[in-house]
Amino acid sequence: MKFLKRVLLMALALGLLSVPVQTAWAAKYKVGFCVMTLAFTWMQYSYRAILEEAKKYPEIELIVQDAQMSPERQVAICENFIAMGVDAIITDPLDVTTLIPTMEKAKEAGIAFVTFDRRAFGAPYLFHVGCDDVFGGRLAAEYIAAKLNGEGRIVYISGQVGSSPAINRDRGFKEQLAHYPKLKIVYEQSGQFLREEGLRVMEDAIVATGGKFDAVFCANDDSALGAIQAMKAAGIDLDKVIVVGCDGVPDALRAILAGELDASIQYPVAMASIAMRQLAEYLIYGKMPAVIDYDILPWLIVKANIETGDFYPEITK
Amino acid sequence: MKVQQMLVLSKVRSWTKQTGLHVLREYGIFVIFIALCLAIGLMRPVFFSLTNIFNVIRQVSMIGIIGAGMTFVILAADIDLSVGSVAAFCGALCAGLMVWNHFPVLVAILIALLVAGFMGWVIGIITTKANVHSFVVTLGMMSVARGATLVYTRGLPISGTPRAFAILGEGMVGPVPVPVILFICGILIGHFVLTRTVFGRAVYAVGGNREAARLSGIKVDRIRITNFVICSTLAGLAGIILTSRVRSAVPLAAQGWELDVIASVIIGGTSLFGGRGGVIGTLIGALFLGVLRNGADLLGVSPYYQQVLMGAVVIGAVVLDRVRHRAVSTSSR
Repeated sequence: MKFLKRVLLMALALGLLSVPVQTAWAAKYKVGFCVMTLAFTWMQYSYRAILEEAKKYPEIELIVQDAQMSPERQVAICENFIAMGVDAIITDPLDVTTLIPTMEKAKEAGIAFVTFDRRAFGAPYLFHVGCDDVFGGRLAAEYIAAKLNGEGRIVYISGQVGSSPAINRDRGFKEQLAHYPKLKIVYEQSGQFLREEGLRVMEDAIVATGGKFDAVFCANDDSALGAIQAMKAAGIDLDKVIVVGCDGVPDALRAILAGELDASIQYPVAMASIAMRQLAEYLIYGKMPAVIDYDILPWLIVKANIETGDFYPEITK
Repeated sequence: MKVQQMLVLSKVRSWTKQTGLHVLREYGIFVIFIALCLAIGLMRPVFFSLTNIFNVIRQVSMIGIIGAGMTFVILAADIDLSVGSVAAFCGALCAGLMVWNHFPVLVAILIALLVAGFMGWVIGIITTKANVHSFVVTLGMMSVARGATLVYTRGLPISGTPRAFAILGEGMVGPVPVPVILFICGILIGHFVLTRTVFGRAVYAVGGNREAARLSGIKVDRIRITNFVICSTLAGLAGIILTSRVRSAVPLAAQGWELDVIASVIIGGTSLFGGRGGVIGTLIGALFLGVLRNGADLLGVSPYYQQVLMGAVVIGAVVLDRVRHRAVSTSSR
């Protein structure tokens, strides 16, 4: 199975890499890029953003591998990069600890290690570009509080159990909600960041609450889109319910325009391109970024400012 | 053979009646299922509302539809691990044909189902002709189909399916959702084929003793290939229903379904070693898992505990099955 997976992925990677390969003669620096997975919408776009950014620097040759959501595979890929003698590694750590020994090895070998999106704790790295998810959770709570005048019943569909965005969004959301004693979470369950789970959990939430709720907060857009499907099927008037998602993926922007989703918290794709740009400038010009731990602030997208969405160009094409 | 089986059965019956356990032993999972429903209903009366009952059946309908096919495969002592990936691929293919190529809904569905059937045929051919265990072949197919889904969708959801397509996942016939009707039809047809047709008998024979079946003139390979085609086609159908329900095809859709499907079949009393069981059991098995999950949601059980609960139930069901199996083999000595 592993063999088949590799062959397929190699074919995929080769196809996608065909452009950088043409300019490889000019490349002075090899950068290993280990993608966490190519199957999440947001990851797919951040991956494309990194390829785009790297193209701007002919001195950089990017080698791409996919960890397919497996921390062990991520370790193996990064170790291969070290063995290949790359100049730098850029990745999105699947969990907070597994990569630590690999990152230490990279440091010994004098290889720059850069992380974006998720981080690894307690390991040496050159710099990190991420997003303040706690702030994102706060934004969602503030928006719902403002819309409901600080009083109402909330259905909360949380994220993939144990993942750092889910944990941080949860923290920010609940901490901010604590300022509004009349806002109550009447139902809480994990939607696992998936559409089918968001749909299923929302169906159960409608039954459990008897359809009595004023707002739905979902820890990502996919589960929010599933929840919207469930509410529509149950005949709930979406104009009377505030629905908020996170990430700002293209389908969510479409749903905002259609008036089904009220808001989404943009998880900025810029963190991927910024990480790549800073790494390129470090390698080529020896320029260290001004901030080692750079957390971009997410922002709220509603119908009025829909064009600020990272994926707005995608839906107007 | 038949006389011997009847003898064994009557012996088991009298033994279990003596020990007073015969209700639990004969209809074990069914009794536990009813008890579970009553317990949840007592704690949350809303559980027995019509909306919730149809919710549960609709939620399990996709797993159940594949389960009907998986029962055939497992009865013949094979296994199919690729169903989740095949479902995802066919759902994506169907959506892609409609959204990108503007195919009519029915044509897109038909093509996707044919591709699903073809994937099953490939699994069957490799399993029987190259004589590789189906566990290995379908493990490979699981990866191939998932990878193909990623390639085909370019890793992004395909949304914007036509309105008419929504009928499959969200439509109602009177108060009954369409997926539920498909699910019940699948189970009834499966039950009819297994109990009333020559093919059905042959499936049991192949699972009971492959060599004996071959010697008695049953075309073993053909039976096994047909099973895989049935199972994959139904997986494709379930994937299409899922795509219709969430109005888009997602590359990560249906991940881990193979485990839910196999669990339903096993909880329903079909033996992993083949030859014993049936689709009615699978119906109960699928409902059992659905009720468990729905009950956990209604009671607000944390997702951590839900996983523990699911796993424990699968183990419990297999243990129960083993106890029953042992009862049969010891009393026949």
